Amino acid sequence: MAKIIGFFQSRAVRDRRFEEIVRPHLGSMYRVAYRWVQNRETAEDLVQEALVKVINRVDEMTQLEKPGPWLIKILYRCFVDFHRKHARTPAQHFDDWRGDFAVFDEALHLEGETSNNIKRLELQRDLLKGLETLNDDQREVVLLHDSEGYSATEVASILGISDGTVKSRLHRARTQLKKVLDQGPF
Amino acid sequence: MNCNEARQQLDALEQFDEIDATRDLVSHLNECQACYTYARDRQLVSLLASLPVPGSVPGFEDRVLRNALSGAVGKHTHLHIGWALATAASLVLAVFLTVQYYPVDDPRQSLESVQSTVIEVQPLETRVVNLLLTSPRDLTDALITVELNDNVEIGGRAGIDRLQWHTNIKTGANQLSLPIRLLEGGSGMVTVILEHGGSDKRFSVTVNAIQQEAQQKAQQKAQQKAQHTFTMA
Repeated sequence: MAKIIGFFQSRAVRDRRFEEIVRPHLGSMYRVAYRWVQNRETAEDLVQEALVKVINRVDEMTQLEKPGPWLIKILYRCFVDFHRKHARTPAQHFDDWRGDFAVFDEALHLEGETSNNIKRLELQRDLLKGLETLNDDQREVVLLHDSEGYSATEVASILGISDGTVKSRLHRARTQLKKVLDQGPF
Repeated sequence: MNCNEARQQLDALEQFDEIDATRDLVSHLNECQACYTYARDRQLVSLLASLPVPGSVPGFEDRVLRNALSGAVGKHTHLHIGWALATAASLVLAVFLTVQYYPVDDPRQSLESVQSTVIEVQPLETRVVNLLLTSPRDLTDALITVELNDNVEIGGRAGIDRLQWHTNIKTGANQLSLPIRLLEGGSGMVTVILEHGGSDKRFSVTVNAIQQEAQQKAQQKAQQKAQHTFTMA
């Protein structure tokens, strides 16, 4: 009986620790997943899959100084798996990365938006179109680095590539995106 | 204004809108290519960082944590459905299907097997429906057929009412992603048929237009979220 009680106590401790570590990062995990897949439901499922993968790695997570990038790395593997399965279907030619423009359309129709906000939204919409023109490698780097603020070293670790590759992909992506934003800031 | 001062001002800008730029700064940027490039980079990163992300479904965090802790392995987030058998029991294919899609009536918690399912979408809005075919063994050269009635199209391709291809179904989960679009109000039908070794399984998805009342609620909700999103941006 003591063993059984001990089992449940240790399980409860593990669960509590897991939640303490993971919960603060769920928002950023969802955000990153959404930026990758541009679909809320799929983003939520990717986060779910990532959590299932790490539930038994609480001890490992406890040792991490910054569990955030580590969790994003796990999430990225889930995303890659998703992408591979996705591409096996004949619908793959429909599955080129496409931006989710609905949120812009909704925001642009809101009353009370200032002209500056509208202009910014229009620029962001153009930018989303620009992201569609990048290849997957460039887009993954720019979304992690510039949209989510991960350092080049963190992005390299998440994607399993070198720092130099991150920087060159970032440079090419930014160059391409700036072409899209043909109107300067001032 | 020198370059240092210009870049300090640029770094201090929260957003890169004309209203924020002083005349001196604009003048400097017109003359200094390096600072102009710097400003363009800052603008780009600022826009990328504030690209809006729609909020997750309420209760998302609690749900995914609960599912992970219970070892659900995604089961709680998927609607489980069954195949309508089209052949004799002796020819049954031991393949199961899961749909990653969330109809309106809290189906995420549903674990019941059903013969077919109904989803609700906004007309003319493309929604990706993920079908997970789970097989206990490899099925070499299986034939998959997707049939669409007149009111549904796939991936914006008008006029295609049937897709058919041969593929190998691997042991475990095999994902088939269908970007489904309802053309008008009312409903449409998507039928997926898997054939292998003289037997077949058939599954149907009824695609209904979101009802007006639900649509208005969804729009109000989306507007509230959009307001929140852009306040934060």
